[in-house]
Amino acid sequence: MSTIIFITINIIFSYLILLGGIFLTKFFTDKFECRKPYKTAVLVNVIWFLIMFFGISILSVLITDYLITIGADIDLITYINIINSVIILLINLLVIALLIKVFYKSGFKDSIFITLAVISIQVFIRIIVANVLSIIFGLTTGGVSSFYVFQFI
Amino acid sequence: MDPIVILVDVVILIIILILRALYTNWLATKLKWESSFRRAFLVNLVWIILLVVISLIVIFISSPLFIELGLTMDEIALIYLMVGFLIFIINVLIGIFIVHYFYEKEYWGSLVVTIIVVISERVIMVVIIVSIYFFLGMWFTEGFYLFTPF
Repeated sequence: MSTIIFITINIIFSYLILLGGIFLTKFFTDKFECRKPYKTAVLVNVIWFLIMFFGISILSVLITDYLITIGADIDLITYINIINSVIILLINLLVIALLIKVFYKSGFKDSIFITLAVISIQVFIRIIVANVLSIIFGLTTGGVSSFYVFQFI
Repeated sequence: MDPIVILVDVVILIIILILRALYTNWLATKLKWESSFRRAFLVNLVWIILLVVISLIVIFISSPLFIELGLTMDEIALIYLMVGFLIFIINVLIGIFIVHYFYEKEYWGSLVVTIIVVISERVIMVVIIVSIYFFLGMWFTEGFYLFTPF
C-alpha cells in the first residue's frame, strides 16, 4: 500500500475522532450534571470545527507557506510547525471551554476539566491510530513514516 | 553519559513530579474524589519510578542488542516505534491501576485522569525537547525519563 492510502486512512480516522467529540462532550457534561440534549453537543462541536477549520488551520497553513516562500531553514519550519500544533491545541482548549461554558452554563473550571477530558481522549485515540498505521506501514513497505505530529506525544 | 544531561534530567524530573502531583490533585478534586497533595504526590512518585525503570531497561538493553544483531537503520527505527508505542500503552495501563489503587475509585475515572495527565505531559515534553533542539542545536537522546520518546 502506498503512503497516500495510509495518509487518507489517517485523515478519515481524524474526522471520525472529531465526530466522536460529540459523544465525549455529551458523556462528560452528563457526568458534571449539565444535562442537555444531543443537539447542544452537536452544536458545540460543529461551531468548534468551523472555527478550527476556517480560522486556525488556514492560518497555520499560511504561516508554513510563508516560511517556505522566504526560504526558511527546514529546522525553523519544523520548530514553527510543532509550536503551531501546540498553540492550536491550546486554542482548541480555550474555544471548547468557552463554548461549553456558554452552552451548558457550567463553571469555568468545570468547562476546562470537560475540555481537557474531551481533547485528551481524542489525542489519545489519534496517537493509537497514527502509531498502528505507522507500524503497519513499516511492516508492509519496510519504510518508516510519521503520519501525525502528535504521534509521539 | 554527560553529567550535565543527568543533572538536567533529574532537576526536570523533580519539577515534573511536583507539577504532576498538583495537576492530579486538581483533576481528582474536579471529579469530587477525596484527594490531597500528599496522595497525588505518592501516585505520581510510584508511577514515575516504574517509568524510569522501564526507560532504563530499554535504554541499556536495546542499544547493545541492536548493534549485536546488525539491524539496518530502518529496522531499528521500526522496532523503536513499536517499543515506544508499547511503552506508551503500558504507561497508560500503569497509570490507571495506580490511580485506581490510591484513590479507590472506579476504572473509568482513573482512565480519564490518566489520559489527561499523560497527554498534557507529552505536549509539554515535546515543547521542551523541540525548544532544546532549536536553541541548543542538538537532540537530547540520553536521559532516564525526559529525553526518551516514551
